[in-house]
Amino acid sequence: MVAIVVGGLDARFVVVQSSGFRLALEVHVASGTTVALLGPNGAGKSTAVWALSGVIPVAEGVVSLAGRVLDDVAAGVRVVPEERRIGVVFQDVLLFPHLNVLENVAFGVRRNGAGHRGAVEAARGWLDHFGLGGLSGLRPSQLSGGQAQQVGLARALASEPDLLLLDEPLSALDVGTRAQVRRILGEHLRSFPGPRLLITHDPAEAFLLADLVVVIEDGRVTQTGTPDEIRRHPMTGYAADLAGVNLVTGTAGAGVVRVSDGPDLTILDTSVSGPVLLTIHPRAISIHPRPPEGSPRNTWLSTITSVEDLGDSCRIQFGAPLVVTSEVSSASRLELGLEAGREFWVAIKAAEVVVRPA
Amino acid sequence: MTGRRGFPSRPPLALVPFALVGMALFLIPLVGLLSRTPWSRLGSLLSGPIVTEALRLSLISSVGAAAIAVVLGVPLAWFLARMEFPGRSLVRGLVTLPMVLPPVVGGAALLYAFGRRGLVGEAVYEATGFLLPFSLWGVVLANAFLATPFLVVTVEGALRNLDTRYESAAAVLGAGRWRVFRRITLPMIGPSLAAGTLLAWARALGEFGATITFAGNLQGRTQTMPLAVFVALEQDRDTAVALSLVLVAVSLAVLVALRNRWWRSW
Repeated sequence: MVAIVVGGLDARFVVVQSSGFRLALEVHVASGTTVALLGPNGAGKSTAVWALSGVIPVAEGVVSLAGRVLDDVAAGVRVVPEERRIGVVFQDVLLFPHLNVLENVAFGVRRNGAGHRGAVEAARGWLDHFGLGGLSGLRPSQLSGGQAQQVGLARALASEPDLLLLDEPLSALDVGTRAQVRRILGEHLRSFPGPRLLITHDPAEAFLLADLVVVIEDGRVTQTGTPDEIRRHPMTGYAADLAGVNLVTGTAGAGVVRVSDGPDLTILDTSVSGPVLLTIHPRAISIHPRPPEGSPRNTWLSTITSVEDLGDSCRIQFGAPLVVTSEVSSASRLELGLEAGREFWVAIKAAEVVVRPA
Repeated sequence: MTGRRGFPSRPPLALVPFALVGMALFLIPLVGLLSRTPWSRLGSLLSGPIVTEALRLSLISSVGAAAIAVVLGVPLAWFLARMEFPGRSLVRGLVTLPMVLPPVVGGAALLYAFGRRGLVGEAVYEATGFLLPFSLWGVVLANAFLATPFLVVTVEGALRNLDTRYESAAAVLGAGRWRVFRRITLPMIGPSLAAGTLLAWARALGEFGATITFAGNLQGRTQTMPLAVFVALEQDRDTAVALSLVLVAVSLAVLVALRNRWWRSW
């Protein structure tokens, strides 16, 4: 069942590698939306990139993009990579080392009879658009990781693709530049009118940038849903681990994070300031019948909105003032009587709040 | 003295005399040549007609052979490195055979193929009157036959080591196969291509056996530097030494040009 949405990507295919690894993937991306392919290392994410790019053949299935069939194994259709019109920012960016930045971007310009000069002019336009005009004459080896990533994105966009495909765009960057590049990336992602596919192993990246998340594990799709759905109803242990993580955004200063419509949270790091992304593991959130004493410095009274049984443990979701999910053992649940609608004290140790610049 | 991993290396004593004799094996002939060089007459010897003619023929034939090696060798290397086809090992063996074949045998084989009575040569001769042996073209062919394998081996290695993801990336960006080859593959193997070309050229410059067998030893027509050295040894030793000195200088220049590739990396 492949419904062709004009402008979007519809892919349902199987790749079998010589190593015996098998990837079966189904992903649909509508124009103007971002889908994240989220999975651990070895799940088949890179294989998906090269298969969609047409570099490695698919063994069965159909891939169509913007109303064009790119792969249809049964019908014997396989469009070569250079005619697929897919703009890829590759995992290691893969800027051509012997060409300077301008020539790299110009290489991606599809010259509809424009000739070399036209391509260079268009490339200059793209670099200026990204604010990278000053880097034109540099070799890729002279760029920082963040700069290379942006040049790679400019090169992909300059080819005027029908699909934008980002393969682990932030993994090569250090933590400091990651937030900045993520923001720039988010802006450019949203301004690209076609379908966008983001390949990542980082749940924060997927949940922040994507409208829909496709979780793949061991070569197959284990869950598809909005970030919210996956966080609420994870279907596998891996997804549960990713999804259960509480993500909170706010503004940090002097060891306190001001959370938009929520309580202020105390953090250990007093040096961070500005917008931050907080991750709090569900097992780091404790639940108490009375106001807790001692070290947990973030505590408030909240009502349980839902309880989800995971077997040995269960997931307790709290509503206002801050929606968070806690994971406790089933024994604790019985002991404390944790049921939807009841009020409890929620406590988070400052040391358990992981702070990243957003 | 410290070894490669930082601990003192103590050579087994039995190796020492052999290593010294080995070194002498390479040093003494060079010293011998230099000691017999008539330094004061060098200028006039090198400007004599035999020497200048041989130099001219050597330059033409070696550069021509290197050019053929590039034009034919790069595509051959590409197919050997990148394509799976039946008999690939056989083709590789065939291409590299001239590296181990005695050159004189190569010359004889060329004669049976392209000579006046040869497999291909006879038909060509009857149709056009064109004869390869005993011509400058014959020298170029003989040199190319022996030189091309060096280029193929070098370039094939480079193609195998090249990260093919760059070529894939170029294709995904919309470049056709030829454009990928010209704009990405060739520039990225550039250093190896240059080294292979230099090796092929040096091999052609020193070629003796196949040349004399296939193209003869005609002064001013097919007599290259090595042949001129051989003839001069019989008649005029000073000229032979002067010619040899030129070839030694060229060889050293080649080594210097390749030094980053071989000396430092080892």
